[in-house]
Amino acid sequence: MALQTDRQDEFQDAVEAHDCSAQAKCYLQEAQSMESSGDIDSACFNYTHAYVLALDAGEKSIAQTALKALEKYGRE
Amino acid sequence: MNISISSSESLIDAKALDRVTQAVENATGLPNPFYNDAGLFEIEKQAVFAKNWACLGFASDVPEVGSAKPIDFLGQPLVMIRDKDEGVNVFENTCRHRGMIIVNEAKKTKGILRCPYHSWCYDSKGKLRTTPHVGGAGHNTHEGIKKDELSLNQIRSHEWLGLIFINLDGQAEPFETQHATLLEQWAEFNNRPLYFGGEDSQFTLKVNCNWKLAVENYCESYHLPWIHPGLNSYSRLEDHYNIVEQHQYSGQGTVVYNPTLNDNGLTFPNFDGLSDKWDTGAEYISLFPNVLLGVHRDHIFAIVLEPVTHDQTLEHVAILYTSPDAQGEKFANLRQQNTAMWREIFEEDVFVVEGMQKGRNAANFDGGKFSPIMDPPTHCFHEWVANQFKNHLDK
Ligand code: FES
Ligand SMILES: [Fe+2]
Repeated sequence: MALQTDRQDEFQDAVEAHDCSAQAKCYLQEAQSMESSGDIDSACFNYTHAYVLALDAGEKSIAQTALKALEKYGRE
Repeated sequence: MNISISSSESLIDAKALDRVTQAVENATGLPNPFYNDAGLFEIEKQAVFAKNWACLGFASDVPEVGSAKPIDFLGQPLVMIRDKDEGVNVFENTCRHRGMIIVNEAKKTKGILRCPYHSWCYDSKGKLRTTPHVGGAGHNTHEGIKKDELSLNQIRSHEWLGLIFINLDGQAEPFETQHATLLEQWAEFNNRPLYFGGEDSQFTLKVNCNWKLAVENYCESYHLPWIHPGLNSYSRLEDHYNIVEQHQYSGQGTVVYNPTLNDNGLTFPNFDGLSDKWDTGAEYISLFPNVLLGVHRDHIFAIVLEPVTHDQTLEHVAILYTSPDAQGEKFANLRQQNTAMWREIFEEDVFVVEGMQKGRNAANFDGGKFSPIMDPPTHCFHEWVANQFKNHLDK
């Protein structure tokens, strides 16, 4: 998974720590910046990961945000 | 598979089953293959365990909302999870996608079971919540994937006395109907909160015998003076009575329960509002097929028998108390004494059940002769098992 460089370290740490919350946060940020740059497919890929990991980690607000975005684009 | 089952079915001698279900005076015990034939054990999984309410484990195995625990029961991968509304649910621990095992170890979840393979997510009611990338990257739906039809396969379950029971074939009568008599006999213990003593109040014994021998040995008091002489010093054979409820359960009771454990004068608190019977009474019942129970005014224990093979059984023991107080540090010493006392008694039984397993390899042993006075609880169990097999063959 290649994230933008400024989030790559944070993401790598989260993966190594098996920290689903932190991974979900990284994916959400990544999704949001892709979305604002107009790359909807990449955004939805990242929203999907944010959603799944947030569900797993009980991060309700991340899950909600990601789900709304996925629904908006007809992906969930 | 079919071949070994049909050849094992031929080991079920219908005439022998008829001898088992005679009145106790004339009956003979279950024949050897019921103890030492692996193929017959496979039939037993269906005939005895799947059709009844088998005991899977303890409610305390999943203590908090979201706690999940995988359990392989009779070779089937299952998972228990505590849901916030429905109490403990039991599911097949197998993902509806490619059949991956979903939960590998006991853990606290946030109410979501995420399959480790492609991350399909189920909730604690078994509902499939999301199927990431199922319609291509970033597309999480597809018209061919109907989430409503892809819930985890649920196993019918019921919680009673701190225990989780399951009915694998889904066809048994409701637990409360099937066990109405015991629920009435022990009405004073129903619907009370029970407090698991924790780490120091549980242990597992591995015994090299068929699970039925553990049931049989537990439900009789005949052996007490010989195998548990220590117990006999304050709970003599003549202070015990048989409990026989045909087609349901059997065991024994004592009228001289008088716990001697104390820690500098501290003794366990009693359940509130019990009738006089329990001042000095205690009862020990084998609830068929596979859980052994003991109730006293100040604690309850259960031994859940997990049949591993036809000649190996795990005995999972847990002790439950009457109040949150008894779970605390103040009672730790007393709890440890109580656990040690029961452990010693249950360990005294191990050589007997293992010896009976070996004894079952004698070609001419016919299943054994029952004492009409001392063995009715044992016969009650044999008769129950024989009837399960008869019903199975008649189907
Ligand atoms: S096998 Fe479970 S998600 Fe694929
Ligand atoms: Fe015993």
